[in-house]
Amino acid sequence: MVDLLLIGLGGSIGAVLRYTFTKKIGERYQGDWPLATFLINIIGSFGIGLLYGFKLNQVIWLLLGTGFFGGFTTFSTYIYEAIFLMEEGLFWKNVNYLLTSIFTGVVFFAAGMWLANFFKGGV
Amino acid sequence: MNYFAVALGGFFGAIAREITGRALGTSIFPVSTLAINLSGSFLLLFFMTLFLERITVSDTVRLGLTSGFLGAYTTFSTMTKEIYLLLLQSKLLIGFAYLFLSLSGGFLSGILGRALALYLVNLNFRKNTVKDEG
Repeated sequence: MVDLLLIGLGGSIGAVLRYTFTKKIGERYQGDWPLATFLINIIGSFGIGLLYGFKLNQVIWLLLGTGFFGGFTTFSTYIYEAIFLMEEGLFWKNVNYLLTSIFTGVVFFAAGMWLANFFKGGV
Repeated sequence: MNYFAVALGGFFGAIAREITGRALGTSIFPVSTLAINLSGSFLLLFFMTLFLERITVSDTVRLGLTSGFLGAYTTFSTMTKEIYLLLLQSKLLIGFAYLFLSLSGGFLSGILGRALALYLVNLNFRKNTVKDEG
């Protein structure tokens, strides 16, 4: 029960931050590329990589890993944006967005994890 | 009010993700995250299409459900973590299969959700038109 509350708390903060960040980016950038979600998913992957690398305690993992970064990053909006790019006739931009996000995300997760290991003196 | 709706939706979305994850359990292949992301994409496209096409709801309800609940229910960072860890363990085939299924499956689920919403909207539109003419 406490586990679920920690996850819920982290998730609500993550969702609000994502919403705020998306609004702020939307006021400044009007291009085709879904920049806000792209940055959110990359930053979140890096963050969860750092957390995973540091291997802190379970409470921090549930609150920040599963809760905050899980709720901050989003898969459904990413798919939503890709489908709308395709409907606007931007088929290659849609494929590019799908692939670039996922590959950059994996690289940033790895970077976060290795950075945490570096600080721990493990590498 | 909008911030509160997103926070409340995010709270329950993250919890729903954890409960679904526990119910599906863990295996070598990250089935739970895949199922969560695919079902969430279906639902987001379904509801967004309804909201865009016909059904008017308040911003509070729309944001709570979409940016809040479904945004936090689905996750990108857990997926990139799982892909990287699979590759790190030299499970290349599973890693790339998971990546491919997430992308193609997510895309198809979204298209299906959107198609279902458009179908229901048209059905309702036709019914109303017939009623008006009669």
